[in-house]
Order: sequence, then C-alpha cells, then structure tokens
Amino acid sequence: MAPGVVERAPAEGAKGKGGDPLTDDEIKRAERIALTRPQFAAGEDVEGRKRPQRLTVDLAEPDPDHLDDPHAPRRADVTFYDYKDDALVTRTVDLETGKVERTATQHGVQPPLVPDENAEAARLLIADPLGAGLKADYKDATGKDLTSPGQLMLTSIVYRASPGAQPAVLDRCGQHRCVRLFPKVPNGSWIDSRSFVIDLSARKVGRLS
Amino acid sequence: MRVNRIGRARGRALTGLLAAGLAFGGTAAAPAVALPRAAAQPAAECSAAYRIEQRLSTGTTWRMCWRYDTHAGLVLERVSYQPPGETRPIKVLNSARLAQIDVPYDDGSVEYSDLTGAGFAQGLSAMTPAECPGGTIKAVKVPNAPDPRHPNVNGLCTTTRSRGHAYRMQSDTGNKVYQAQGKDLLIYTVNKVGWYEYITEWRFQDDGTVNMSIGATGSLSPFDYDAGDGRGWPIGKGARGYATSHSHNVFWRLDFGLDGSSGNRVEQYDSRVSPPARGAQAPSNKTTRTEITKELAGDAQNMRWWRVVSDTGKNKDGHARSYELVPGASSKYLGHDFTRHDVYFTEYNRCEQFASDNLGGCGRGAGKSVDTWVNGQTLTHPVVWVNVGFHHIARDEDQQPMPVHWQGFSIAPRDVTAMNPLTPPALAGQNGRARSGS
Repeated sequence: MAPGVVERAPAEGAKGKGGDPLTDDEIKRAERIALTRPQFAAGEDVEGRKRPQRLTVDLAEPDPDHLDDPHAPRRADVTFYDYKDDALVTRTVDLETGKVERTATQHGVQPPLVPDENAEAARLLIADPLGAGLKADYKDATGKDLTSPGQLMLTSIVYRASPGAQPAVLDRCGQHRCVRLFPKVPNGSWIDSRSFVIDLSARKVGRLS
Repeated sequence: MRVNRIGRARGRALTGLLAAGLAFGGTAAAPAVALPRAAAQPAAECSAAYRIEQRLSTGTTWRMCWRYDTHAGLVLERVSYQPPGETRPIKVLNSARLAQIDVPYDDGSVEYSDLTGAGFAQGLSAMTPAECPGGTIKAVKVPNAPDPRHPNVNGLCTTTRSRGHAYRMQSDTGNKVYQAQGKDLLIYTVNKVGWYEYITEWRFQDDGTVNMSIGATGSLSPFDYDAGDGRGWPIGKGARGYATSHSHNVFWRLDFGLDGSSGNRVEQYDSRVSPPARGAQAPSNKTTRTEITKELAGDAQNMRWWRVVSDTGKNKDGHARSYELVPGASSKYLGHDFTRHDVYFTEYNRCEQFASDNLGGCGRGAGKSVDTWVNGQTLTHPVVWVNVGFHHIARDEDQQPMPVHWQGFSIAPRDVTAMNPLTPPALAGQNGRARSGS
C-alpha cells in the first residue's frame, strides 16, 4: 500500500468556526482578555517577573446548555500560574463578547510544565552544587561545558511530595510547583537527573535518596 | 490487548434471533414506528481542515471534527455514523478522548500521570509516510511544543483498513453466498512520554462499532533496570538488568450525543445461569435489566454489560437507539479508588476533565478524580469513563524496540439501525421473523 500523503498545515484564519482549534489570533485575544492590567501587575512568573506565568489556552468545554447547540459561542480557557501565591488560575473567556465568564483559582494543582518553566528549572539545577553530576555527564557526552538550558532538550514530570519520601527542602512540593527533569543531549544520550527535584516556587533544588 | 475485531457477533444468525427469548419485562422498546426526524444540523460543524469524513467502500460514512488539546491530546468531536440506507448522519458522540494514563511502578518508587503531569500531549511525534499506509498525515499545532519554533507536527494519521469478514451467509437455495469484507476508518497519533511511545488508535468500523485502544511501544525506561527487590524481570544476560514492573491504567472519556441529543440514559444487564430445571435439557439463563438512574462506579462481571440509550432517537423498527460498552481485557489496579472500578457514569460537568489529577476547577473541596464525582447525582446527560489496566511485567522480547502492547475496549451499536447496517438489498426484507428461501 502506498505511503501516506503528508498534508500541509492548514492556513488559519483570524477566527475559527464551531469546534475548530483556537487560531493564533484567538489565543492572543483570549490571553489579552483574561489578563487585564491589574492581574498582570499583581502576578509573578517562573523567573520572578511581574506577570503571571502563561500556561495554556484551550477551547473550553461547553456548558451543558450549549452541548446540543450548533451555534454555541466559541470560548477559551486561559490558564496561568501565579508563582506569587502558588495559584493555578483558569479564566473562561467568551471570544465573541470579549468577556471573562468565570475564574477558577486552585491551589495544589500542578499541570505539566511549559518550556519556559523547564528552562528555568534546568537553569536552577545547573547553578546549584547538586547540578555537578549533570554538568559532568554533559561534558562526558559532548566535551563541552554545560552553562545554559538551551544546550539541552528538556522534558519533565511534575513532582509531588509524599510523607517521608523526600528531604525537608522538598516537603512543600505539590503546593509548590516542583519538577524532575529528563534532559537529553540533542542528538545524543539522556542524562539521568531523576534524583533531583527543582522547587520552582522556592527556587531550590533537593535530592531524593 | 488488541481489541479490533471483537465485533461480538453474538450468533446473529436468524435462528439465533428466534431462540434468543430475552425477557425485557415489558419495559423495552415500544414498537411504534417513529417517523424519521427532519434533517438536523450538519454533523460536522468545523472547518474542512479539522473535519474527518470517510466514506468506506462498503457504503458507510463516518464524520467528525478533530482538535488537539494541551493535555488530552487528540479530541474527536461531533462524531456521526451514516450506514447505507440511512438518509442522514446519526450522531453518536459529542466528544471522545483519553482522560488519563496512570503509571504506578510495582516497587512503589514512583507513579506518573502521563496526561496531566508528564506532558503526553506535548510529546506528539511526527510520523513518517510509511507509518500511515494508504492514508493522510495531518499537521497538528501542538501547544507548548518543546521546540516553539516548530509547533506544527505531522502527527495525525487517517487511513482505512480491511478487517476481514463483515458477515457471511449461505443462501438456503442455490449456491449463493452473501459475504462482505469489512472496512474500517483508522485514526491515530503517536505520543512520546519519556521512553515510552503511545499509539492512540480510534477504529471506526463500517458496521458502526468503534474500537479505542492504546498501544505502548518505544523503550522500557533505561533508568529502571534496578528492581532489586523482586518486583522486576531480568531481561539482560543471566540474572541481570531487572526491569521494574508497572501498570498502565488508561482512561477514556466518552460523551454520548446519540441522535443529536445529550439526553441519554444508562442501563445495566446481568445474566444469571441456573442449573437445568426438571424436564429441561440444559441450564437456563435469565437476563435482567437495571436502570442506572444515578451516578455509578461499575464493576465488570461475567455476563454483565451496559448500554447508553437515546432518550429521543429511534430506529426504523421503533426501537430506542443505543450503544453498548464492550469491555476489553483489563488487569484492574486496586491501588487507588479511581482505578478500582471498570467504568464510571457521571453527570456531565464541564470541569470534570481527567480521571485522576484533574486540572479543571470544580470549586473548593471538589474531588480531583472520577471516583469522587460519583456522588448521587441523577443522570440526564451521562458521561462514560472507561478504565482499562495493563500490568507490564517486562520480558526479553521487550528489547528493542519494545513490541506494541495494546489495551482498550469497544462500543457497539445496539438498535441504531433496524437491521445489519450492511445488509445486502436482496435480504432487506428479512427483518423480524425469518422467512425461508433467501
């Protein structure tokens, strides 16, 4: 049987229709609506700057009364993390009216990290004495010094504290936003860093026994 | 566990129908013939780029819209089925998607929530053309892609496959054999999480059955060859390289919109076999129906099944349209309340999105897993969560790459059409009591 035909990425208009994924324009618009200036000024991102950390913008799950309505409004769930008070905030935005319909604030809920957060976690680990092994492994693999996260391909998994499973420095993980990194040398080997947990809220690194 | 071709033929020969004798206690289908409803909205409300429409060579058309969610990955919406002889698409699902892959390791060292903690969706992999034989690979815009310069990943394959016999029947007279070779629409993605690569496959058969499965391949975790406490299997030479055993507890979330309405009800059927009565030649089997009117955490049992029944839609026989859940093999993991049951029926709530480590904000004090959402609400718009577990004790053959191991289940139409949707015209009159002379 013939190999598959690869379709080109569809050209996005300004607005999607019905159940279409959000267009780049809609994502920007949703973020703008969700993050009005006072929220912007009050929050803090992963690098400690004065703005909440952007996480995701998705088409919102419909309200029950919109489920069977083919003309239901397009709405977006804009989710961000405020490192200032460790809050996950989801704002549901109606893209037609430009209004925020609801806001849900949660503590202790940790979605997967976004690339900016992975990079910051790696930056903290590289700068920490506990990052010595990572740097040594990188040098073994490449012959070069590891000085910045951009030298690694980064994926990660959220870490939550369990009673007795980690040193005290990591006990607040779960309420704090914590992560284990899975660094990989581009076109090269993985580096096992699973024993190290980076608490991005406290900006500290700990080691699991 | 591969679940295509389950099909549950269930002795659909005409003689089987005559002998079935299912007692519905007089509460089942009222055989008043409903007039076909006026054509409702078109089944696929989305732009052409996000529509999947496939007319299979046997005459059945499946239609749906797709999008890609930041955490759930591929989401199929507004799914409809139009077999030959139906004048309009019959809606089946509002939405269908994964709801979690929970991966606890046997030594208690770690447990991953692949969708909501480990970036399953971000790990969408590009497919080579050879991986999607005869089909089309669509580009998917991946939110928070690891490489933000390349957010579009050629990662969604749609194609068709043959599945062998759809049916076969020898004519009572002459040499005629009625037979058809079944065709399926196949939709899949590959998502990489750590060293594992998950193939998320949706198979839409021309007879209305839908199979959903996850196949795990890639590599065993190279860092987990240290199961020194007897909870692993040696896969290196001699007694070395113990790969830690683990489970994959996969959840699917199905939101039915049968016949265009979210108003559906749930029924449970149980059959009980008793020893032969005096004078009977065989044991007897009695089937009972239980209306599930409130949220339920259900457990699979021998001869137990569930169906979701439309409140409004009827087929041409006047029978309520429904879809039956057809379980796949499962190794149920008893470590958590949310993995303890095979199926959950909950009333639709937009914030209930993932079966564990839910990310939706349901308010202060709300539970974060599907078991906690079963709390007595009346079901008017049931959402179905199906849990299928696979306990992976690695074996030598798992290197390298690891052969795909499958887990999943099916949904099969029950009274969606008045007859076999693929009935050939010559047999179209054979609905109900069988006549001879086909």
